[in-house]
Amino acid sequence: MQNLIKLNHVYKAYTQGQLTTPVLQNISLNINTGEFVAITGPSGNGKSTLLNLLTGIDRPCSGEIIINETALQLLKEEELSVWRGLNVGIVFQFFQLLPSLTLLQNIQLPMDFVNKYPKRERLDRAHYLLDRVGLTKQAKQLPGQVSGGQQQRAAIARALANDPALLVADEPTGNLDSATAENIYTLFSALQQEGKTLVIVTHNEDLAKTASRHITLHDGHVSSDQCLSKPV
Amino acid sequence: MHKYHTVLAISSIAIGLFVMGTLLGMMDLQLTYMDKAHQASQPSHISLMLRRDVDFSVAESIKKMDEVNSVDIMTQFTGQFKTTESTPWQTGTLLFRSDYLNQKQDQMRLLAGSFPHDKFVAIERLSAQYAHLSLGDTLEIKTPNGTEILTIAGIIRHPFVKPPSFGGQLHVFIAPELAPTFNIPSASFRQLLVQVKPPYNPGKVNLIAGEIRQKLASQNIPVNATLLQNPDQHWGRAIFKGIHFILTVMAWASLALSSVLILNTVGALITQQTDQIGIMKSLGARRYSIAKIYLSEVFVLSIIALLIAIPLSAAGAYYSSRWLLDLFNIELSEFVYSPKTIYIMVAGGLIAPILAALQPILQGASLSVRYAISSYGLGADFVSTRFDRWLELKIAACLPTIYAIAIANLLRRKARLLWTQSVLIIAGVLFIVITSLIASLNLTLNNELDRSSYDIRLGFIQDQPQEIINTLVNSFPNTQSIELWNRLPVELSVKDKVIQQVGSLGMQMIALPTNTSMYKPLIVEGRWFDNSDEQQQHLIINADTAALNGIHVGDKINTKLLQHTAQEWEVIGLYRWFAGTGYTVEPVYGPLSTLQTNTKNEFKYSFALLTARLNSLNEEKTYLEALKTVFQEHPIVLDVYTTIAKREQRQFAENQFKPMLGMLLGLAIMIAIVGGIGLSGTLAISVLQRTREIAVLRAIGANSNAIFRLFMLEGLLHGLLAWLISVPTAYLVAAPLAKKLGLTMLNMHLDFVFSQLSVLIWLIVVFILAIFATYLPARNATKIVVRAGLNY
Repeated sequence: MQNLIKLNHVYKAYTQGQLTTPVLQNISLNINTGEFVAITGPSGNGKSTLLNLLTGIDRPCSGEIIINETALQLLKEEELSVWRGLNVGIVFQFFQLLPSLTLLQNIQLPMDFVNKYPKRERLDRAHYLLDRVGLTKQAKQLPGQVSGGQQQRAAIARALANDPALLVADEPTGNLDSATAENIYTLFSALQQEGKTLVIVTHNEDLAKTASRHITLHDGHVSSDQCLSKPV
Repeated sequence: MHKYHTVLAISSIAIGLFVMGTLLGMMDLQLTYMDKAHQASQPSHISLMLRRDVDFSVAESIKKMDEVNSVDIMTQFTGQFKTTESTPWQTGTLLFRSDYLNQKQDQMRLLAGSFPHDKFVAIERLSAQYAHLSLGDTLEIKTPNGTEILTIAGIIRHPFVKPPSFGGQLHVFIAPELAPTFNIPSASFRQLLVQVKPPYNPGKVNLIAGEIRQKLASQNIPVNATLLQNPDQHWGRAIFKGIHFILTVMAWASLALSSVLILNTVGALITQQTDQIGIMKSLGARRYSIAKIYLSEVFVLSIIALLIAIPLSAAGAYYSSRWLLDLFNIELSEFVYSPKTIYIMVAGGLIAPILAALQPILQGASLSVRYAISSYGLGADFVSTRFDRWLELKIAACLPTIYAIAIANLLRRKARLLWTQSVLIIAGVLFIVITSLIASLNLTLNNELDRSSYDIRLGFIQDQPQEIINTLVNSFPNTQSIELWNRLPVELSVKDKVIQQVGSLGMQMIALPTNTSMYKPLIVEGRWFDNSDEQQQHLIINADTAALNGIHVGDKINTKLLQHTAQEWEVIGLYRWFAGTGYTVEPVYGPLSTLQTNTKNEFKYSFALLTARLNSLNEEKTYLEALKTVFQEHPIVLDVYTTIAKREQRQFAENQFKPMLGMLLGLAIMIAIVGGIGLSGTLAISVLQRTREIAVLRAIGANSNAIFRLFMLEGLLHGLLAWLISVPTAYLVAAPLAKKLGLTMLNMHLDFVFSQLSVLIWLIVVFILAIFATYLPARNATKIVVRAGLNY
C-alpha cells in the first residue's frame, strides 16, 4: 500500500503576545492511499490544527508534511492554493457553500479555478457528482433553499470536483441531525470503497467507528492509533 | 476601529467637507471681493456713451439737474499701436480722464508707477499681463499726423474692462494734454458718468437716465449706449447667478454623498463587529452604551476629517477665487478665507456624519445577544430575490461561475448598491449633460454664425458717406461684396410706458436692406423682411423683450428714434437673441429705406458688412488690421465694440464661456472622483465582509489571480451598470437641463444637441475609474490567508 501522507516530527505552536502554546508536538504519521482515517479527541487538543496542516491551510513550526510526494512546508501560499485545488477536497462543518451560486454552480466552481477538466466536460461532471450524492433534483437550487444535510452532501460533491486523491472533513456531521449524519457516513464509506483517502476530524463516535483507522489526539500527541479494518 | 475602516471613514468625510468648503468658500470670497472692489471704485449709477466729443459745459449742465449728485467724465477711443519694432500694429483702446488725481466715479486705481503725464502713458493691468508689458517699455502709437513713441510710466486697474482673452482690447491711458495729438480737444469728453442723490433706487436711476438722454438730445448730442449699475453689487454678479446656484447645490450634494459613504462604512463596521456587540451585551451593556461607543468613534473621526478638510478647503477656495477674481481684474494678493464657510463646515462636518451613522449604529446596538454571537457559514445575511435568481441563472448559463459570483455580489446588498450607483450615475449624468451643453453651445454659435454670411463688420463711431466706405473697402483685392447698414438709438414704448429691455446697454435700431444677404436672425414668430417692407414702418424685435412686455406680432408700438418724433411701427416678427452675458446693446431691426426717409439721412452709414476671400483666422486678422489702418489713416474712427471679424468673434465667444464650462466639467470630475471613492469603499467593505468567503474560495483552489479577477470584475460591473443607467437618464434630462443651464449661466437659448461622443468617453472614464477604485480592494482580497480568513 502506497503512503499518501507522511508527517515527520511535526511541531506546531501558537504565539499570543509572549505566551507560546504548543498544539501539536512531534507528530509523526503515515496514511496510506485508500485509508479512511477518523481523528478524535477532546476540544483544543490539535485535531483541527492537524487537518489544517494536511490541507496546507496552516504551516508547521518544524517537521515536514509530505503529501503525494509534495513537501507542503516548502510551498508558497500561492502554490498551495493551486496544489490544494488539484489534490485535496475539503468539507467544512458549516458547509461553506457560496450562497449566491446554485448547488450545480458551487460544484463547477473548483473546476473553473483549477482547469483540470476541459470546459465542455465541467457541467456534465458537476451533474454526475450531484447525482452521485443524490441531489440531481436540487441542482438549480441555492444553498439557502435546501436542508443542512443536502448542503453537506453538495459540499462533499464540491470537494470531489477535481477528483482529488485526498478528502478532508472537519466535523462534517457536527451541524446535522443523527439521521442525516448517517447518510453522510454512508457516503464517506462509499468514497473509501472507490479508493479515495479520507481524513475526518469528528466528535462523533459512530462516524469514527465507520472509519478504517482511528487516531486519538491528546495534548498534542497521538495517544492512540487503531486500525479498525483494512483500507481499500 | 479597523485601520482601513478608519482611513475610509476619515477620507469620506474629509473629501465631502473639502469639496463643500472649497465651493462655498470660493463663492463667498468671490462675491465679497467683487463687491468690495466694485464699491471701492465709486461706481457711477449711469454711464452714457456719447457719439461725439463734447465740452465740459455739458457735464456742468447735467450736474445742475435736481436729482444728480455728481458727474465725472472720460474719453475712450480706438487707436493703433505696436509694442516693439517688429510686432504688427494692433488696435486698442486709448483712454484719458481730465484729472487722474481727482477721479470721482469709476475710479481707475494706480497699481505701479505714475498716472499718465506728458508723453508717458499707463497701461491697464490685464493688458500689461496679456501683452507682457511693464514699466519702462515703450509703445508706438499712430496719430493722424504720424506716430508717437510713448513710454509706459504706470500700471492702472480699470474696473470695467473685458479681459483680452475674452476679446477685450488692450487699454492704454494717456494724459489729457496728449488728446489734441489725436484730433480730440483736451477739454472734452465722450463718456459721461453720473451718480444720483441717495438713496439708490434702480427705478429712479432709470428715470433720471431718460431725462439726461433727453437733455443731451435737445443739445444734439446722441447717446450710443446707456449703462445703469448698482453701486453696491459688482456687475459680474449677474454672470454668476446661475452657476452659483448650481455650485451651492453641488456643495451640499458633496456633503450628502460623503454621508452616504459614512453610512456604508459604519454599516460594514457594525456587521464586522457583530460578535463584539454580542459579547458586550452579554456582559450587560445596554443599547445606549453601545450606541454611545460607536457614535463617539464617528465624532472623533469627524473632528480629524474637519482638521484635514478646513485648511485644504480654505486653500482651495482662496486659489480658485483668486483665479476667478483675476478674470474680473480684481487682484487678491494676500491669503484670505471665508469665516462663514468654516462655521458651516464645522456644523455640517459634525452633524452630517453623526446623522448618517445613526441608523446603522442604532440597528447594530439593537441586535439580540443570540443573533450577535451566533456564527453561521457563508451567506447568513444573504437574501436573493426572484429577479436576482433570474438574472444569475441567465448569466450563469453563458458565463463561467466566477462571473456569476461577481454579478451576485453586485446585487447582494441592494441599499449599498443603490448608494454607490447613485453617486456614479449622478457623476455620469452630469458629465454627459455638461458635455452636451458644450456641444450645444458650439452648435448654437455655429448656427448663429451660419446666419451671418459676412466675414467682417466695420462699425463707425460717426456715420460715413457711402462713396468713401466703398472706395476704401474696394481698395483691397480680397473684398468680394459690401452691404451698408445704419443704426440709431431707439426707445420703444407701449401706451406711453417705455418697455423693459433685455439688453443692458439700451436699444438700437439696426436698419438694413430688406433683401439683405448678410444676416438673417433666427425668427421664432412672424417673419423676416422682404421687398414688401420697403418704406414701411415695420419692426422685428427680440422675442425675450416681447415676452417681457407682452408684445405680439402685429402689435403697433411707439418708436422714438433719437431726437425724432415718436411714430407707430408695427412688429412683424420676433427674433431669438444670442447675446450671452455681459454688456450689450439690444438690436431692433427695421428697413433701411424707412429709416433713411424718416431721418432724412440717405447717404451716410454706420456699418459696412463685407465678404472677402479669407481662408483662416490669420488671414481674417490681417485683412481686418489692414482695413482698420486704412480707415484710421483717413481718418475714420472705428467703433471697437461693433467692429468684428466672424472667426475671431467665434473664438472670443468660446473663450468667454470656457471658465464656466471648465468649472462645471471640474465639478463633474470631482463627483466622478467621489463616485470612485464610494466604489472603492463599497468594494473594500465587500472584501472585509467576504473575508471568510474568500478564504473558502482559496481553500477550494482559487489562486490570487482568480480572486483579483473576481473583485475587478465586480468593480467593472458597477461601472458598467452605472453607465447603462446614466446614458438613458442623461438622454432624458440633458435637453431640458442644458437649456436651463444655457439660460441661467450663459443667458442664451441654446440649440440642443446630445453629445454622443460623451457617452463613449464616459464609458471609458467610468471603466478607468472602476479599475482605479477596485485595484486596492482587489489586491487586499488576494492577501487574505486561508486560515485567518476561515477564522474571521
